[in-house]
Amino acid sequence: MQEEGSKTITVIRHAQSQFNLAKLNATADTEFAVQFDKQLKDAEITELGMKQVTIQTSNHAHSQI
Amino acid sequence: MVFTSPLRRTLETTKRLFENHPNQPKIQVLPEIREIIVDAGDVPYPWTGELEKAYPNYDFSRLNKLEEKKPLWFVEVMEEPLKERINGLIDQSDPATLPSDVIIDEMMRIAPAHLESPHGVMERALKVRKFLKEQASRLRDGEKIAVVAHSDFITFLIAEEFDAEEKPLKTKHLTNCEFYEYKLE
Repeated sequence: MQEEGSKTITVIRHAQSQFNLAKLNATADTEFAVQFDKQLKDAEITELGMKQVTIQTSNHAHSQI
Repeated sequence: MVFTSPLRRTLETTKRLFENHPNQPKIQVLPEIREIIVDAGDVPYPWTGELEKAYPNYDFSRLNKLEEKKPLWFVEVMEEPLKERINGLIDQSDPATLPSDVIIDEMMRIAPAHLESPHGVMERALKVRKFLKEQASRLRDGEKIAVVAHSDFITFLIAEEFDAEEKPLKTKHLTNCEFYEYKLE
């Protein structure tokens, strides 16, 4: 066991989702619709986002976890 | 040890990050770290068991403890009296209407206000911190914890302080795939 108080945890934000991409592409006219479009709930992961996670974080996570 | 939110984007991110990890860390699904419900992308479909089949090696025991309330696990994590109000709206709705859509309708009705209060989210984040500290105390030398979660909730989880409205201060808003080393106090 280790002493408490000095430990760190690695907090990671998830990869890109279709919802995030839709929000990025929203215009002022569509922003509200994107925010509450029921088709976008629990948005699926996109391959674009998964490439991000593979490239940007896996090496770090492998060395830390 | 890895803790992940039950939303699809976090489950899948966790898979891509750790499925080939040499240490093969245990992965536990933690409903308490789901995203703050701000827009439609934060509202899951009711739980059907589909995701347990998609991620067979994950530990879903904390969801299973909810028993008959498991399909609406994301409501169970809400603060009171919001949870009671949302359950009431779902109970009164047409049975053909998806509970997730009932929530989104309510979000639209109250917009630009949000369903979940800073106080409720802060309380949830502080409970998660306590839980993670307990888990960290059980680690052996060389072991570490990773938490795969969501940007808005993370701002509460790693905040050094909260203001008078209980909004997070001295915190960080992570971009997609960004990671942060958080010191457990």
